[in-house]
Amino acid sequence: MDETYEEIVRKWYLRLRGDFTDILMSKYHDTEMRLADAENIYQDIFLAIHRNLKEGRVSEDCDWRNYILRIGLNMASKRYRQIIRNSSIDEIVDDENTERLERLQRVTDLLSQIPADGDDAAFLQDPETEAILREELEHCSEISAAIIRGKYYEGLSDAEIAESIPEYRDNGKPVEVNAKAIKARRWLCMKDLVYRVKLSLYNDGIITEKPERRKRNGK
Amino acid sequence: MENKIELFERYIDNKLDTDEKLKFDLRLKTDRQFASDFRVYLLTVREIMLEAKREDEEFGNAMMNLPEGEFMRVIQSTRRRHPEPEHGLRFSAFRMSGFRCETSRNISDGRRSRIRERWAWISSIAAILVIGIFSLFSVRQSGMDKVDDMIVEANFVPDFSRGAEVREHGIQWEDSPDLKPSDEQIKHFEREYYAVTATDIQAQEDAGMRLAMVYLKVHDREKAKALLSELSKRFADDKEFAAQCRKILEQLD
Repeated sequence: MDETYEEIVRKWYLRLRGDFTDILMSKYHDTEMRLADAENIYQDIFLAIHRNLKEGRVSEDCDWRNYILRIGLNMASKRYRQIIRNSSIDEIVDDENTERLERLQRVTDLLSQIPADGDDAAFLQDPETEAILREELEHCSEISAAIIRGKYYEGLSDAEIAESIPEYRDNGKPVEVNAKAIKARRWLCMKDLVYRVKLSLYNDGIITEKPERRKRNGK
Repeated sequence: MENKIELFERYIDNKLDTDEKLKFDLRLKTDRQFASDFRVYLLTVREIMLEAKREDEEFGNAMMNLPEGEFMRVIQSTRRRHPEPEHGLRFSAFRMSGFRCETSRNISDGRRSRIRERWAWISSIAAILVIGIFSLFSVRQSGMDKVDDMIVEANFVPDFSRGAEVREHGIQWEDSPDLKPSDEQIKHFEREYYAVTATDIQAQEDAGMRLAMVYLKVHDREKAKALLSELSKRFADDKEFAAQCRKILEQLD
């Protein structure tokens, strides 16, 4: 059943709120900012987005996570006068949108340049392939999804991704979020994802060659 | 495979030097597995980008088309309450009436109000639990009483040889099934049971069963079960009677 507009907006509002306020609170932890203040800023951002869209100041296919975070940091810096951000968020967003489309085009071009034969021809043409890809993506953890999205869609560096992700726990242990950890996590996630995709393609009979078993820690 | 991921990334980002790029391109043509892995990698990356784009467009479209009233409803319905700060009124530069999170209030009023509210909730829940337990108990008891009455109706054998005595003690089972024997009347049946001649098995069985039914009539299951258990052992040779006692005991369990 398709979601209504209200359901979609509510889902996004609730999904991003926690991470947003965590990031804001960690950046402004030595100020008078309280959780209620961070949430008020978050609320104001959504009000601003609603207004900006109606006024045509931002396009519908904007990278919203990044946009929300940037606006939030901008608002917080005006209030607490700490980190000075560029005030023309919309210009930055337009430039990033262009870069994103260019990256997508490059990946598409590379795909068409690699000659396909045998199994590859099979899964490139099979409509099930896209469904398998989407399903395997959904099985990624939230942190992994945020990291790979940050890298491949938003074009962020590992350091920038580290800044946009709050501290998290892996198997109960707190993980320091820095560029090195992000890179390692991304490689592991992509390696796992590619393996799972190939295994699913093999299990569905789309390709005939079974992928190699994953190796962890050299075992 | 891990090194491959880094290699693939650098290739896509055009970060390989000339020599590395030549080797990569050559390997794509000669190493089938390598080419297949790269292809799956590219497909995955493309799907990541397309999926993220779809989500963004969906959200942007929803925000664009959501009417003002419904949008405000989302904002208001997702508000969260926060604990009061320890001191003072906090100024928010982005004030907008009706939607702000409360940033300060008089501490003692707030605390008293919360304590009252909490106790009201606890009291309500406790009352509901008590009423619920009592109701369950009443329903259960009522059910058990009905079972007792049915057993009495099916198993009580009036002592027709003592018709006058029965009437004398006011117990007329046939006419007034709802009548409950008094303590004196119960004692009468107890005396009767213990007074029966030891050699008169039938009389003892009848008196024992009558007494057990009288106990059940007043819903004294403990005494009824104890007596029936004794009767079933004492008169085990009378298999029909013993079976009747055991059947009643099963119905009481």
